Amino acid sequence: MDLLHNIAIGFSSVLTPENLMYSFIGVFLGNVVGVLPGVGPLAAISMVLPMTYTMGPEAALMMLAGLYYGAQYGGATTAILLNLPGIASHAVTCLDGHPLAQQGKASSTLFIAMIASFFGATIGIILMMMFSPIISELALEFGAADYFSIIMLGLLAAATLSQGSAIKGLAMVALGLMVGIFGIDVNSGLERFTFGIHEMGEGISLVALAVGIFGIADILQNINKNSGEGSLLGVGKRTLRPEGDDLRKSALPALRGAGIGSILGILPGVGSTVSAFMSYAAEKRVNRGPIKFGEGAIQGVAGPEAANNAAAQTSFIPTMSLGIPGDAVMALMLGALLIQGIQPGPQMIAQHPTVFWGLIASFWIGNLLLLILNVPLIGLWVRILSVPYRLIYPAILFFICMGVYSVQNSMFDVGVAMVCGVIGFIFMKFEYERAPLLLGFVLGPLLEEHFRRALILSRGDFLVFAKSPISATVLLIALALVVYALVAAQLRRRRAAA
Amino acid sequence: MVIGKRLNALVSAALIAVFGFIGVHEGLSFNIGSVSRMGPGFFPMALGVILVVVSAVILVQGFLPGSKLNETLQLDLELKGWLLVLAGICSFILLGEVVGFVPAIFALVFLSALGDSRNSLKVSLIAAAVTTTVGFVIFGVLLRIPMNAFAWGN
Repeated sequence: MDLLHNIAIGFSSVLTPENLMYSFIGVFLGNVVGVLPGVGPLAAISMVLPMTYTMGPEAALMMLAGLYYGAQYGGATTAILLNLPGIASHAVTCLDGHPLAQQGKASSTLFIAMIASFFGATIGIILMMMFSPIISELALEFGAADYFSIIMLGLLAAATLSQGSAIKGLAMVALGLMVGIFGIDVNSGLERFTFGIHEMGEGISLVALAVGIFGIADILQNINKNSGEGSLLGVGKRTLRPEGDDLRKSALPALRGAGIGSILGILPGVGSTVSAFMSYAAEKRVNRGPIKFGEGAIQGVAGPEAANNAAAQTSFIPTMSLGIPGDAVMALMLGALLIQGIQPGPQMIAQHPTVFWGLIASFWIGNLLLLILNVPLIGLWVRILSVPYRLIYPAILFFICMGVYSVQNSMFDVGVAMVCGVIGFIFMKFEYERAPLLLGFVLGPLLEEHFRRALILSRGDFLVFAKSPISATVLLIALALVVYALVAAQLRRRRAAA
Repeated sequence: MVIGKRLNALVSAALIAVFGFIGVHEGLSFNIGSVSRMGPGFFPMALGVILVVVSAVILVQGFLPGSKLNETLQLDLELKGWLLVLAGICSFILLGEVVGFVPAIFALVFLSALGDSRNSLKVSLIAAAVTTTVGFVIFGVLLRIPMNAFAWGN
C-alpha cells in the first residue's frame, strides 16, 4: 500500500525527539496565542518565523503549522469564556458559546468545542492525505498560463471574499503585488523600487512586512483598549466534561461543519472564518424550530468549530500541492519553505516526502496534543486569559524587534518592520484588510514570472490564457467572482436607497 | 474623533493613489517593453495604473450615497500611546548596535509599556527589567545570537 508506506515515512519523520519537540512548541504557542485576545496567529507565525531559519525544513513547518491550528483551539476558549473572538474565525463561536457559559455550562461547551475541533481537523487531514498527491500529479501538466490564472483566482477571491469592501480588498492585493516585486528584477538585474537605498536591493523581507502589518499594527490598535478584564467567566471544573445529551446533539452539526469546512478550506481566499459562518448559517437552517440560536444552542458551537478546524487543515492542500497559498497564513507557510530552499508545488511531495508526509503526521500528533492540552489543562488557559494585554504587548514588541533583527543581524529590517507597522495601522484605521496585502506580497514575484513566461511562449498573444482548458475554466470562475461582488454591491446600494 | 464621509473617502483613496503614482513613476524609469518581451518597467507600470484606477473607484464610491464606503469613521486617537511605542522601537534601533542590546531592550520595553496609561512608572520599570533579563538569557545565551550586551567599550 502506497498510502501506508507514506504514512510510515511521515511518522518516522515526526517521531524524532527534535521534530516532536518543535511540533509541541508550535501547538502550545498556538494555543496561548489563540487564547490571548489581541494576538492573532498571523502575528505569532511571523514572530516565530525568524527562529525557523536554523531548523530543518520538517521541524520549521511542523512548528509553524502547529501554531496555526493550535490557535484555532485556543480561540474557542476565549470566545466562549470572554465573548471575545481571540482570532477572527471564532466570532461565530461567541454567539452561542458565551450564552452557554453564562448559563453555567462552560465546561460542557468547551468540551464540545474541543471534540468538534478535533473531529473537523481529522476529516480535513484525511482529505489532505487523499487529495494532495492526486492534485500535485495533475499539476505537473500545468503551464505558465494555468499558473497565472490560478494565482489570479486566488488573489481575486482573497480580495472579494474577505470581510469589508471588495474594492478595498482589491487595492490591498494590488499593493501587495507591487511591494512583492521591490528589489532586484530577476530577468534584467535592475533594482526596482529601491528609492536609492542600498539595503532595498533584496526587497522587503517577508518577516519584516508580516511582523509590521500584523504585530506592530495590532499593538498600536489595542493600546489603551480594555481587553475584557473582569468579564471573564470561570469554568467551574478542573477538567472538561460533557453534560446531558450535548454530545449527541453535536454529532450531526459537527459532521456537517466538517464537510463545509473541508470544501471551503480548499478554495483560495475563503478559509476558516467564512467556513465557520457558513456552518452556523447551515445549522440555523437545518435546526429550524424549537432550538433558539444566539441564546445558547450547542449546535451553534459544534458546527462552526468543526468547520474552521477542517478548513484550517484543508487549506494546506493548494499550498502544498500547487505551491499557491489561498490566504495570508498559508502565504507565510510558503515563505517559510522558500527560506528553507524548498519550492512547494507539484514536485515537492515526490522530492521531499519527509516534509510533506511528516507535516501530515504532525497534524495527527499535534491535534491529539491539543486535545490533551485543553481537556485536562483548561485551568492553565483560564489563568493565561486573565493576564491583561497591557502587560503582554511590551514583551511582544521585544520578540518582534529581536526576531526581525536576528534574521540578518540587520537594524534596517527592524526599521522596515516599524514603517510597515505604521502604514499597516493607517490602512487598518481606514478599514482596509491587511491579509490580502500579505498574500499579494508573496504571490507578486510568482505572478510576474508566470505572466511574462506565458506571454513570451505565446509571442504576446493574450489568447494563451483562454486556449488552455484549465486556465480558461479558472478565469471563468474568477470572472464569476468579480461579477458576484459587483452585483452584491449593487443590491446593497438599492436596498439602502429604498 | 469622527471623520466625515467625504474626508474618509478622500483619505482612503489618497492612501492607495500615492502607491499607484509611485508604481507609475517607477515603471516609467525602466524599459516597459512590449507584451511579448516585457521589460522591467511593465509590471510596476501595470500595477501602478491599476492602483490609481482602484483609488478613483474608492473615491467615487465614497461619495455615492448608499454605497458601503459612504460612511463616517470613528477614530480613537491614542497619540501618547502610539508615540511611546514608536519611540521604544526607534530607541531599540538606535541603541542596539551602538550602545548595546541590554540598554536597547530595556528602553524598548520601558517606553512602550508606558504607552498604556494604566501602566505606572513602577510597573513599566519592572516589566523592562524582567523582559531584558529573560530576553537576554533566551536570545543571547540559549539561542546564541551574536549581540553585544554592552557595546560602549569598543
